[in-house]
Amino acid sequence: MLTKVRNLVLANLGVFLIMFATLGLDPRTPWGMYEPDKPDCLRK
Amino acid sequence: MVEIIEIYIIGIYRIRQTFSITVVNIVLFDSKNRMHFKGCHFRPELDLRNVLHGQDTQWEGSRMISTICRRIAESLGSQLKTDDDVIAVYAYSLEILLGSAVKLMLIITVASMFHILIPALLFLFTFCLFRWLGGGVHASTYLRCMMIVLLLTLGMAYAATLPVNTLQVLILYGLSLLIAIYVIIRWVPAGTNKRRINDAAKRLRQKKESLCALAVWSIVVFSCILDHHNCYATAVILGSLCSSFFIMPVGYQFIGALDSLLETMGKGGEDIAYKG
Repeated sequence: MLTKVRNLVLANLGVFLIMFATLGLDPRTPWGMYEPDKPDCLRK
Repeated sequence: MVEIIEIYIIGIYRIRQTFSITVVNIVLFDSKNRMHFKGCHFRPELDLRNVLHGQDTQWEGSRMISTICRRIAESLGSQLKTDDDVIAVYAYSLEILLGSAVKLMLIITVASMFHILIPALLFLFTFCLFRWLGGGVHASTYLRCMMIVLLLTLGMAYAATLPVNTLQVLILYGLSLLIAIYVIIRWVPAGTNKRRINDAAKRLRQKKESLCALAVWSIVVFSCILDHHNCYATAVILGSLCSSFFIMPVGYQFIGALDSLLETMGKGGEDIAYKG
């Protein structure tokens, strides 16, 4: 049961991270002056 | 074939990409002073002797967040059995989220210690809003970015707490409004090496959005002045002024010069010494 819950949480986290990266949000961190390197697959 | 002229066997404690602690490393230096590492780590551009003397810790610090995010992403990817592209997306997302969270927490903590939390947050919000819409220069590493933003936010929040009368605030507002309008018309959206906007329609849209934000900003400034909160009004005005500065070419020159200076300091001034 716990494993199922953990997998569900991890899967949702994964989906959230992909959504966050591909929503079209600006890659610059909102608070400052540094931008991480955008992955090639997202650039394409 | 590399001619090895120096061999160091050193015992140092350093956090590696795998988060294990390295006890003993073998380091070889060739005739061109390039480092050859016997072990899990190979960085020919780094002179490890500087690390031993504490002069080249910039490298580790600047990539710390990236490394942590990469590790978390890989762990998540192995659990979910995803491919490398998806892991790269996880790492990218985490780097934005974690990097921002760490920076914000640090700013909130330090600003609270100096009792300037509200002006600091008002400054930061305005600064980030205009930079988000207008773009501008970026520091080359996370650590430098964090230090610049922290010092800038604290300095400006402290400046906002200095006693000023309403007339002075209005003059500052007028000045920053004129500068912001000029910057928006002339340079917004200001790009970087990693991101440029060349599409004319997109550029025009971002200019319009920035002007709308400027209108909202004006309302906020006047609300603060009417509420006799000159301190808050000054913080918001300074946020706009600073973001305008970092969108202008002079802001790019300033950050470029600062980056070069820190780069030289990170190398222990070797470049300058050799040129001299």
